[in-house]
Amino acid sequence: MRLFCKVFIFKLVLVLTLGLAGCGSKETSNLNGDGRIPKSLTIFAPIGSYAIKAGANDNNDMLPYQLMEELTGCHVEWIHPASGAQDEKFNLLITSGSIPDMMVYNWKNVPGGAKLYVEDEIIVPLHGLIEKDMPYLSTFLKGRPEIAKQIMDDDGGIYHMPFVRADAELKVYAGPQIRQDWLDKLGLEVPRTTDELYDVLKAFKTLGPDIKPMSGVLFENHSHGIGNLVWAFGTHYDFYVADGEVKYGIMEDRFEEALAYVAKLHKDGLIDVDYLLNDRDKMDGKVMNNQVGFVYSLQPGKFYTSMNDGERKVIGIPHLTGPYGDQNCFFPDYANDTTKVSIAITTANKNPEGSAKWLDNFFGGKGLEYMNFGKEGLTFEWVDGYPKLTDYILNNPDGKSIQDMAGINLGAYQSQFPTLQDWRYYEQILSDWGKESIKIWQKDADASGILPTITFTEEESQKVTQIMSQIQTYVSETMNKIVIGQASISELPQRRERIKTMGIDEVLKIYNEALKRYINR
Amino acid sequence: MDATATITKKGRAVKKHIWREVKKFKHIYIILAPTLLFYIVFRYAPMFGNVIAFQRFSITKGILGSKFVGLQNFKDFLTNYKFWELLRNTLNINFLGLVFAFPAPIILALLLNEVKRLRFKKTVQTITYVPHFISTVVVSSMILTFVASDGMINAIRQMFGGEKISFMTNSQYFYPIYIISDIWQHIGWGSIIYIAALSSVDQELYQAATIDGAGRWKQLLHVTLPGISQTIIILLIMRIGQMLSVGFEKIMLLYNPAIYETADVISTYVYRRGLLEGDYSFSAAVGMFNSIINFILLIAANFFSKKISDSGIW
Repeated sequence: MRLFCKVFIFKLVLVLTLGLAGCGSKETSNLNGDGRIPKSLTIFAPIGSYAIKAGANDNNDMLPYQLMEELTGCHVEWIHPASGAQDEKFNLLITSGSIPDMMVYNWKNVPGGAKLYVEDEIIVPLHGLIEKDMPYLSTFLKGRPEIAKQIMDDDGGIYHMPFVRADAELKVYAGPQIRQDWLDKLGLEVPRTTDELYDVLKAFKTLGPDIKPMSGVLFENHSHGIGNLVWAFGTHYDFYVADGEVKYGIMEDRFEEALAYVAKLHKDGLIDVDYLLNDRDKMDGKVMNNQVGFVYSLQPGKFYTSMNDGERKVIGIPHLTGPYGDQNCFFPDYANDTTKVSIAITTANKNPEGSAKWLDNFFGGKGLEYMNFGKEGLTFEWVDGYPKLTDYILNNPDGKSIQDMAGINLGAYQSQFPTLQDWRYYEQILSDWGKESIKIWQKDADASGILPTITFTEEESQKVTQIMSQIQTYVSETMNKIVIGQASISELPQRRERIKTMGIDEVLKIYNEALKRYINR
Repeated sequence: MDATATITKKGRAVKKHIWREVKKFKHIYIILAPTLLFYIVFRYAPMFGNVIAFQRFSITKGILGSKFVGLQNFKDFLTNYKFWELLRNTLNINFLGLVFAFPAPIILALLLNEVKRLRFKKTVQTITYVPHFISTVVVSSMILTFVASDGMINAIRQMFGGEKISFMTNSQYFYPIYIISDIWQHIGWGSIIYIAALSSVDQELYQAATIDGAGRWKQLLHVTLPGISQTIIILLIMRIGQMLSVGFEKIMLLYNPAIYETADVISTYVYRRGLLEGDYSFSAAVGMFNSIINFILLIAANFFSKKISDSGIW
């Protein structure tokens, strides 16, 4: 006992002197003071593509992480997966048993849920640590209970901490877009309803033989799919919530009418006949080639860069209203404040408390500032309490692009590491068209039907995967074939029967129970 | 007692004999070692991983900790609504390949063999085998560009007054596109082995045939073809042994849901289910099912080949 006391006092003295010494040499090392943030950590995390383009091989080549190391005195050894090989690398790390201290991964969607990983002793629960060691984060979560609800599991536990879009504008970055200059040329108003859109597309068609009035990709693609047109009918091609219940779009009455509308556009030559062969790049190429008048897409920054010649203009339009007055938008992120990039502390970590303390810097104080704005005096200046980005980022003297500079200097820009994203830096990087579009999309879109990020138990998720892997393929086939006229819309009832026999009712039951649990969190 | 003793003695003698043999030709065995090692490490050892086909594999629990579910995964596959469609498409593609793509390099090799101008022959050979070295990703996007509604093929059709056709959204065009592009890709490369076989046909046989009054056609039928028949049969048997496998990269890059009906094959389905959805056990089960059928086909093909032509791969 006495020995213990001695050791304890010795440690205390050591810690205090070291802490004070730290204060002397650096202005912000009080965190170092309690000596509990580890000196080094190994972290599995993706790295942003723009950071790589700008010359970074490792997060340590990026400004925010260098500043963070200075702030906390903790050196991080990053394990970055090759682009596109994240899942493989993750599985390999887990199965080989060489698990790093922390792992950034899509923990929301791991099969069986993150809770299973806690039960199998791969990761440790975070809620206790947040309460005790992460003052910034716990304050934030207390102030934003709706976000806390998205982060926690059904049992109220928090097992991983995602990247948070802390301002509402950040959630709205995709929607319908139109060639404003074509509308002007033809003397047309911005289409607000599905019928008006039909007329506008018809008019676009007259502009030339190569014109594809509307382009897009695979029907059921949230960002670019032509199927997003069905949203105006108050229905969706996937799961959604209506009247407090989970529904599967194709099984609903309204869907038939909506699908018929899309098929009619296709039949009348208003939709790019090659939409099934498009990916985002091909579609964008057609837009920039002046062949397309209307698309669903992410905010038009890319178009701004290549088409901003004073004559052409691609701009967002409000989400369409259908025949029943619905103005739904089912783009999942409109309702999700968190992304799938999420961090968990593993059982291999010898010092979870200290690691949590380190992590807390990403959610408040100087560290949060580093992640969003970089270094004061270099990448931004405080002007009247507003963090104004400097020309180093916005108009780089060496002629580097904004994306590259933001990618390597602003940690939140490519959302590859959990933090609280700030609208203030984002709006300064956004193109004019993008900023305008976000305001338009945000204005009166009805995002209430978006399914929240519900969690399944291991058994449920197995059942859902097994049944849905069949249904999804079949439904995708059905919708796309009906649109291009390879199947008739009159086949829909019998195809619905088929989906029923595949077990959609069972899946809906599981979804509804999960939704109930979500609401009760 | 005596008998067993002699057997063990004999055994020991054989063992000794083998070791002496190895010692004597040790350099040859050293050269063999890497290949052997390759097969052991990358072909035989992973077979134990097939255990997960009978499990509900979870990466956190590993092979030792995952729950055994017997034949559940196989049952899931065989009762899947897509099973027959997948099987039919896979067999269709392979059968069409066997009929059209398999003979193509043989014909090319025979044609080249008749060419007497070396320079022309070399040029043709080079041009035909270059596509083999182009990445599948590039080839696929070339195909998609050519067959697009405003692509080259439709432009030619329109020049002759034809209608535009949306090739890639019409399930009936998938097989021709796949097979024709496959022939284009691999005809030159595939012909190399036959050209090599042709060069080993005894020249005296041709002279003898000429003396007997055989023209070029007769020479081809009675000298050249029998000369390379061994090679053809071996390649044919190997090809039949792959009846249930189709390379998934190219199909995956070409297909879309509207033509799943003809284009979706076992390997693409396994890719979607196993890698995209993380259902490893299911994929392992399908992979194993595939391998077993392929194995049976291979043995059967070899058996019949031996019966009919007296030549096989073993």
